Amino acid sequence: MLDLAVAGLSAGGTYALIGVCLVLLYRVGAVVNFSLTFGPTLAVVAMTDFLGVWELGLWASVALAIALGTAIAALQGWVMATLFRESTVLIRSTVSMAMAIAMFGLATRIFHDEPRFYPTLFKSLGRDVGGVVVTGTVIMAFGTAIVTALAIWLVLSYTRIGVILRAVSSRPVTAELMGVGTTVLIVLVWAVAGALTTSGLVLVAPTRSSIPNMVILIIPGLAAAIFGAMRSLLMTVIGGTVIGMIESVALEWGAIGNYRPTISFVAITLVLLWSQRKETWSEAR
Amino acid sequence: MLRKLLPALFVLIFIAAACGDSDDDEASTATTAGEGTTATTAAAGAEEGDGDATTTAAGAAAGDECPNPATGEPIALGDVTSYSGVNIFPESANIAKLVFERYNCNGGVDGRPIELVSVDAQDTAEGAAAAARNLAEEQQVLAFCCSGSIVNCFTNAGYYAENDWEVIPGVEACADATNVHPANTGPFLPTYHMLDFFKYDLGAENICFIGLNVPLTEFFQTVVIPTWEADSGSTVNQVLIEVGEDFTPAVTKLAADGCDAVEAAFTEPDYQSFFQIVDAQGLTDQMDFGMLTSGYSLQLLEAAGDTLEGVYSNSEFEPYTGDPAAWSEAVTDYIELAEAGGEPLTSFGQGGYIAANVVITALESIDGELTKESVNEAFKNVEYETPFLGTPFRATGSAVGIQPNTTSKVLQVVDGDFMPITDWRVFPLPAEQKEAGGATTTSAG
Amino acid sequence: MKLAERGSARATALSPDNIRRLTVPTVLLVIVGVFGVLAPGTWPFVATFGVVQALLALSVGMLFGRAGLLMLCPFGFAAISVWVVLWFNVNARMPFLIMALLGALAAVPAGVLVGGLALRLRGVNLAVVTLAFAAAITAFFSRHNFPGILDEVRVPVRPTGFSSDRVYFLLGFVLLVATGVALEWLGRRRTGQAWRAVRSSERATAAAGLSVPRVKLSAFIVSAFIAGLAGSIYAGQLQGSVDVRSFSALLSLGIVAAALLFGAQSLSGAVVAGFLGALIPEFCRRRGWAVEYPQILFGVGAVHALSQGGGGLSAVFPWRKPRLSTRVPPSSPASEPDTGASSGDGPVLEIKGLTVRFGALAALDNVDFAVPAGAAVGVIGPNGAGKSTLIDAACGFVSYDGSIFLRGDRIDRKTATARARAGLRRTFQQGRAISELTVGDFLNLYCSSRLTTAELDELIGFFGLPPADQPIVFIDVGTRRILEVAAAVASRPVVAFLDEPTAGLGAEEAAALGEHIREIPARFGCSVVLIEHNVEVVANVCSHITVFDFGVVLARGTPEQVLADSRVAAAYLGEEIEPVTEPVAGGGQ
Repeated sequence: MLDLAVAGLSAGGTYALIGVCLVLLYRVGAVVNFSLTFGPTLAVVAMTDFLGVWELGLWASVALAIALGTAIAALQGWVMATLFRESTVLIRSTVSMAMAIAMFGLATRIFHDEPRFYPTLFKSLGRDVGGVVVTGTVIMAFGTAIVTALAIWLVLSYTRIGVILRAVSSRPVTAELMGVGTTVLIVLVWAVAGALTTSGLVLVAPTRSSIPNMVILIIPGLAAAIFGAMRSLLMTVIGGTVIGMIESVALEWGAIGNYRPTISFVAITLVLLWSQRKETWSEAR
Repeated sequence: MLRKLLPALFVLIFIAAACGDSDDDEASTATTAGEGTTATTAAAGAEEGDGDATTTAAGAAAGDECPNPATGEPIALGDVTSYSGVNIFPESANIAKLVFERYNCNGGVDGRPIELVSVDAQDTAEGAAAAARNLAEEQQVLAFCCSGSIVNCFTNAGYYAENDWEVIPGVEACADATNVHPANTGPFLPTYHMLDFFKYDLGAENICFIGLNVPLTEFFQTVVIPTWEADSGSTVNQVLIEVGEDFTPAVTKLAADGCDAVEAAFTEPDYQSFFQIVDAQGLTDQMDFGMLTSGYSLQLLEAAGDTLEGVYSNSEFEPYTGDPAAWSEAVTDYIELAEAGGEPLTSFGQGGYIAANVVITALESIDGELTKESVNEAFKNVEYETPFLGTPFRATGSAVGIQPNTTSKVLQVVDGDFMPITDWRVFPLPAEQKEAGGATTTSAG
Repeated sequence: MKLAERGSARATALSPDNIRRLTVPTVLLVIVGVFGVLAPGTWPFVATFGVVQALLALSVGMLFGRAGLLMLCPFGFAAISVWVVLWFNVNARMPFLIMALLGALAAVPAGVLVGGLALRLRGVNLAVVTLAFAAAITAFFSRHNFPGILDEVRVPVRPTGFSSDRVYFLLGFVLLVATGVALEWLGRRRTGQAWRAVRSSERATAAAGLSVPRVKLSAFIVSAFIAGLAGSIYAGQLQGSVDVRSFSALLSLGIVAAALLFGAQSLSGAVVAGFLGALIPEFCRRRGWAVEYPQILFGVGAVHALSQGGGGLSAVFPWRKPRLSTRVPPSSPASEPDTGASSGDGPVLEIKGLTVRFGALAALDNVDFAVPAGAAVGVIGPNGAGKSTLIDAACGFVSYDGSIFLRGDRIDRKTATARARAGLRRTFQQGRAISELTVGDFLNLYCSSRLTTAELDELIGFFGLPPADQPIVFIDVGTRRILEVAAAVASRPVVAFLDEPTAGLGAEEAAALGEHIREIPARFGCSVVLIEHNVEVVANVCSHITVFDFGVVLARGTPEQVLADSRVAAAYLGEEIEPVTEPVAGGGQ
């Protein structure tokens, strides 16, 4: 069972990273970004062309892919900041759904779902743990997730810009009137989330190898973010790891293991119900 | 004001389009070769058909030397393939069109050209259903053939049966359909053959199977594997993985369960991920792995690189890789045709090639008028022999179930190429072969 | 008597105004229906997908547009229904309509499950959980195939006589229209009004005596049923050859986006959403265009359209634009005292030892409070004194220590809804008139039995409210507070707590409202507890005043006594005062 638990880290790291980016966007951008994995997927698949067709070399292609993912996210952020500045969270989240649909169509139309070569990075970092190889990719994904969570936490809690970001998220117009460049900040946050997610997908692309398999990560990513109640970065990282592990260990559980997606659903539901147990009323007062 | 009118405008446009389309007597052909396939140089997002009858990109090549163009009334055949969406395999129909074009340039069927009319199934059940009905009821095709799709057979088998269509696709994933006679073997028999290969040729004791949680997998689990287990006396350890899940846990479980040989039933991209992880976990030397024909793809080989080394694969048709001296004329012809037409070499293309030739044989055998009844009757009774297949193609009347093609070959990736290592595997494997450890020879067709 | 009144209500339903509102939807439905039946070739087959998707859009739209609940799993509900229909079809074939109904009903337990989650999860939390549910359902049905899909010979699902595509479309379309009409009807009844209330404010809903859980569950049950019906029609559409990939989570998102974009809480919006979703891919199929292009266009277009309403959704496709009333409001009726409750019967509401803590802070500390029968009593005190908390505790909106007796019965275990039904009504300091409703609907909602037109007119006339068909969204804040007061007394409660009703009113209006409040006990037979900052109004209206400060009672007595108390003045000016500890005065004179 230990080996399966370790094996679960492979997915867990990715879920944690995506979850952290989702929480960042929720806390600062006031949006549940259903399209978080879609733009980066497009960028990562494009990377295979940078490598294979344009022949740019490994790290140049990776850098260009991350730049592309960042640019797409920044564009989304700009749309959100300008057109949807005064909207509710629900509206912005719906807009992100529409963006996801558009990007998925774009990705499949341009790139199709055929085998492409995704380079494996950090091969040498792999370590054997309990009979399972924890690949360099997994270590880097986890590392990125944890470092990102720490950095976000520090910035939001302890720096001046963190205070500004939090102000922008709850009262963008007020913040604007106080001289804060709301648009720039929101675009920045989206860009950061885009860069991080693209990096994460670059790492795991070889084990996911197709457009649908990469975009579908949004669902366990959301589950991880829900673990953290869209607020706690630590719980998000833990949540992503736990979900990855449960999915893996459940393979041992025979009949119940057949319903792994249901387990995830039940798990996040229970977590949410517990964290929201005191919220009898929808409004604060 | 304008915003309120917009929905009404939409509706009006569609009505106008509908009326315009229904009395469109030009057969509309969806785009054919070139959309994003890596082997071609077509620009991404190349124009899809504008509703005019478009010919394939290779038309020019064949057209230059068209000795005896068929100019009679076209024989319209329907193709339900997905040309847009996620899982698209246009090679089958594309190759078929190339075959037909060449044939049309050599006189056609009594001077009549064969025309393959495509309607995009859009990779959805509704799309496949609408496409089949469009071709059958509006465009009034005489028969269906040559498609390469996952959704078509599944969705339309009932429709085809109810309306007396005998369909000859290139490649389909049918469980069991009376009216559909694909050129490919799967999914039952290749799995069976691979399991046989593992047990009798490689002597594996702990045989495992891994597949995706998709509807067809129930067929594997309830029909294919139990049948093999009953016939062979061995049990197969089965692992199912959810669509979109990471393969690491499943791979770990295979190792933990001590598998000697693993048969993997995936589509191309998932093979890539799977073997990436197998390689990362260092299991390539520990156990033998096998793929179905979906893994027999040069694109996959290129993308997966070294991780595929030593892996076995299955080919339902005569392999188009390995030693060229061993290739039959049919394979050579297929390869030349595909390369001339800018199509990648895949088993889907092979299926289309075979289906097209079967269709030509069937059409030529008809005395008298070509009607829906006579054509479909011919499709039902056609027999076609080719080195491409282990046994002659018979739409009905084969020994096992309904699939016309009951044989396959096993290959192995050696030094970056798929090398055939067995002769045609038949079903059931004769007893002598079982005792002699299968028939592991490098073979010609 | 009531029948005649209802007749006059129906007459207004057919007014020229209403006919104008119905024109566009009716014409749309006729066009779509005619197209589906008469269009050439295979368009009727495709149009049936429009029916399916319209129903799915309706299931999402009604839940969000009417009840404010975002559900992202319409295809999940539909999949359950498809499974059940196909199971019956293969194992126990029945007439199609019965199988379809059974399928739709089978989706209802799933709706209850997800709806149950909505009791504690809100907004995007709920949405994400429903998305996870959608993914779980797809995985489940991948493992447990739809019955019969791997069979060699498929059992046709469509009823005999309806197997032609055109006729089957007609059947589906009739079901669609019937569902839409039934939904509209439901929307006008109490259930539908309650949905709108929950969307606006859960507290206001509970204060109206409606059970919030029950309201939310009812919405989910109806939604799941509609989605299930879509699945049943879909199963017949494809004659049982369904692919589980058609029910994926991503496709659910597409339906949701379309539903929200086109305002699918009403039938016409749902029809547009559904039919565009079905006809556009067919259009592309015929032209040989890739199906992704309309997907991309839809995504981009949806973003643009959503931005148009200032980010609001209802402005995009205003199928249901509220219209200004053209009626003349009824005049103020003559002052007739009702047979009010006799005073001197002992207190109708007794509060003993009430303590409410928020963390370490005691908002109320061991407070005793009594409300006499048939009287208007006042509660005053500086901000933060605990006045609103008193109402929250009495009406069950906050947990507390202590005991509360309503007419001698202990009510501490009762929920807010139950207390409202038992006769404890209130208004809110923030003003929670439900803007999605009209004046008349709002008043009716708060009354457990429907008000007659005469009663409604009397209420409106007495308080000087706008006409009954005026949407609240057009009413100014001050008038809305008066409306809340009217709603609080409409059901003839035992006690009506009014939390700062004159806030936002000018001096004259405040005085007028005060007059009305003073008449409430005689006219409506209930006691009034009035919380106010406007000391003049309180002095005029109330026979007894209690002063709070820092969570304890500072003083009690008649207005003259209390206002002359120097400690009260000091409290308002911020000096420290000793709290009073005299026993509770019974009748409060």
